[in-house]
Amino acid sequence: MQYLGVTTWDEVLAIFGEGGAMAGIWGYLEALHQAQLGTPISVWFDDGAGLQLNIHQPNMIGLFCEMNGELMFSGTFIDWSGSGGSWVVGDIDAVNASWMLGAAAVFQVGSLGNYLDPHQQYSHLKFEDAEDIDWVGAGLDIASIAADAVSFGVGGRVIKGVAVGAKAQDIGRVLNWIDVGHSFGDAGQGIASGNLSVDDGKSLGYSVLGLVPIVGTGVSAVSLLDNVLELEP
Amino acid sequence: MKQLLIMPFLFLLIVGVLALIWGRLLWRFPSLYNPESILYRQVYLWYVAWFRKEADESFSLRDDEVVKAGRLIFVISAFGLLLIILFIVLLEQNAQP
Repeated sequence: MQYLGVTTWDEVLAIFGEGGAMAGIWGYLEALHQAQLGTPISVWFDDGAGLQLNIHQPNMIGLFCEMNGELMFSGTFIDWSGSGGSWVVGDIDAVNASWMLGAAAVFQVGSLGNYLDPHQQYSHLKFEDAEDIDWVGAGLDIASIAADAVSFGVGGRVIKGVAVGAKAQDIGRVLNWIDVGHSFGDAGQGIASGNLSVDDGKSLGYSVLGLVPIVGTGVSAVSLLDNVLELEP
Repeated sequence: MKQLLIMPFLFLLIVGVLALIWGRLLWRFPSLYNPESILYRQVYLWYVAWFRKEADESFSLRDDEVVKAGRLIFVISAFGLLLIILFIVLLEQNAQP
């Protein structure tokens, strides 16, 4: 972000978003994301005749390096003229890279990286912002997984005493019912306000199927992950 | 991104259908219940909690109890599936201009 001259991730997304200096070249952002300074970057260009991806011979190789506090991309064409050059990543629109990045067909970071489609927006799994997490739902999921874990222990005789397992299941059952009530409440509010959200539907589904034995443990685990993590560009 | 949003619903639909089939199988064939299996011991503990049965170390359920458990699993899954499908329909309708 510092290299691009911005302070927030939203500003970075704006650079690559519609109307931005590097509009639509999401694969390049992903390459920036994956690369360390000095990691070799391979680029294949689409010359309009359809991409002939020769994995042993990219059209250009280069690397990111730091010079005078700025991030540079330094690259060489290896199958055209042999010429090359460097440019400051933050000034990418100032170089004639518009055609270059526009024509880029595939990026690869390192020799083992995935082939990156330059026009595809890549997402990363991240923790949701604290205010977006349904903490009551997450707490109920964790507690009911814990209760299920105890009764699994009893079933497998890790813990002796069937009464302990029955008690744990009983607690888990109560927690599941609270979860169902909580989800119905949220969905009810959504319907009343005419603002039904995808999250309301998911949490309702998770909590009702959470009542089924065994299956419910898995559903609670997925519900927890879905609640706490999100896919973001 | 829209496809990603639908993934949890797809997961719920698959899990719901599996639970529905499992419940129906237990309901129809109570002999499937095996007190030696860790998974069915879970069903036992779950049954004990739902129906206030006295728990013991045998982890065994009578056939009529297995049928009852299977029926309940079937009903919960069917209800869950109905809600999920209803929600998908509602969301689709809301998405239209």
